[in-house]
Amino acid sequence: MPLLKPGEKAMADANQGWRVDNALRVVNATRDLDYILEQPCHSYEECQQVRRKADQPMKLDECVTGIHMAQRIVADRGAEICCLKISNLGGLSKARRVRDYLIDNGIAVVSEDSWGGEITSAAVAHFATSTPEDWLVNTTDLMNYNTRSTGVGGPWSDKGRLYPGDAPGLGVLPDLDSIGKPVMVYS
Amino acid sequence: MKITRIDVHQVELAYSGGVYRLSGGREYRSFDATIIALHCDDGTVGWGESTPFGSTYVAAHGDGVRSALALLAPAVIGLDPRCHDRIQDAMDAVLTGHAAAKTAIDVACWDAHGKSTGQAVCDLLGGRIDAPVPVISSIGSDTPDAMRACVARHRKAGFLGHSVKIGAAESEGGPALDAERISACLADRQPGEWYLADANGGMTPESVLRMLAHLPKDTEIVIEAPCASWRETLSLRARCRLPMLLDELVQEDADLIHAIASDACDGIGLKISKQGGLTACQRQRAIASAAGMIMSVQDTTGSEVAFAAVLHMAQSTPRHLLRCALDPRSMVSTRIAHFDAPVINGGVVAPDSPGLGVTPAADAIGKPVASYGAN
Repeated sequence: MPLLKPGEKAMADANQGWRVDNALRVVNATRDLDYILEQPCHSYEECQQVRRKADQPMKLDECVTGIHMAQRIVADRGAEICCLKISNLGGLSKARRVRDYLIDNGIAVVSEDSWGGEITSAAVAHFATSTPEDWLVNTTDLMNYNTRSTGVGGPWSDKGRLYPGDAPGLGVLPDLDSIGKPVMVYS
Repeated sequence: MKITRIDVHQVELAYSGGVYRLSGGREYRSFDATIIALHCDDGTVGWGESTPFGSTYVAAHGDGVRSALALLAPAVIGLDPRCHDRIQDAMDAVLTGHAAAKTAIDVACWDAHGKSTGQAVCDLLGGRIDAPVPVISSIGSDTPDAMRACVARHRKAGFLGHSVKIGAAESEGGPALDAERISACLADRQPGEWYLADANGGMTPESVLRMLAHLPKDTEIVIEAPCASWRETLSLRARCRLPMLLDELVQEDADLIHAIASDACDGIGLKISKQGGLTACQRQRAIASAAGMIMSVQDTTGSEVAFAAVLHMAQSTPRHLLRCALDPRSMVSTRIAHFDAPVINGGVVAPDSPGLGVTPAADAIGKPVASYGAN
């Protein structure tokens, strides 16, 4: 019996927390469930060890650290989906290269960041919006997970969708009252 | 035995040769060293060091080391410094990665451990293997004649190992110049000498293959760290007739396992602060030994404290797999400690005194820039 409604997707994210044998027990016990297995184990090699026996699609996150890992994943066909966290990859310029390489090789992506407020979310939203729809699995409205704001304006979410808006640049202004004075100035 | 306090000192170590040049236009004039004193409840003080090679060698820099210590030091206060794996666990539980910063605490724990049991660190690391450890020279990129002369000077001082820096830009002479440099350095080769051609990740498979084409067919040298990425390295590996040693690409255990699984190399450069300390080096030495890989024991650079850690690791490494140790005293003109380990005929012996056998001079390291734990 399907548990998900049409259009819904489920991911089970272990954030590197399982040992391979325990991950295998979980994937074996859940063979009939429609979900995506995300970063079950610490290392890339351990995840591949699970992948060889798992029926579920695999999404990798923590081990996607840059273009060289993307090359390994493509060469091994090591994942169906890669989570691209902008600050883990070194910014939009580097993240874009990784994204384009992955989607050109038929591996779908998620646009995210490790954490952040309105400004980070604006970058995430623009990155997501510029990714071909067929290759974008989802993105995250990080700004809605914080109690303190970093920006005014910026992306908004509505009915499970994130919108970057049309304003120039990132489309967000810093919330100067909230972020306070600079702790450092370089000039 | 418990750790009660950690004092953090900062020292600028001057490069003895003026400007150190590495492939890719990298230049270093001095190195930002972090030296720590790890105080224990029984009065033992262990010394540790982490000195990144500038900020563009691997992902480490001096300010980063000290910032990370603000997280790491409180996490190990109250723990037994002799339980090295548990110290690692405690550090890993508060900070992922940052091997260079963890190294300072890890090495200081080994020093304290040795002092508490009256044993030299090399004996704690598996046991001293008698006979001097051969040290390796570092022959910086220059004209072929100048590099040949530099090898000759080191040979005169007894050095048996020579690391020849390559990776010339096309505009400087490219692969043809690198081949000339290698041939010049090998021109006066004596029996028993061992040579590395180290590109520090600065060449492409194309440039290395062209360099090999310029070299006489009977050239015998080990290529070190030719390329920046695994893909390039594996591509070259399949087409390179010379043995290969990896350095910058092998940092975590997983990197070494990947190197073994993909047969990417014949040996590795074990650098104490690159791998994450003596505990990590000991573990990786065991993994590399099981795979039959040779090891060159080094550190990114550093003072007498860093060299002491290198030497104790090398002194306990099986000789058939050991290919020289690096003595950073030859790179750094600033002296912060007396370390009773002179280089004699290109070899050096780890002292028998408890721990690392090195104590920094108070006036050389100055006052602590930070202190964690009870006073």
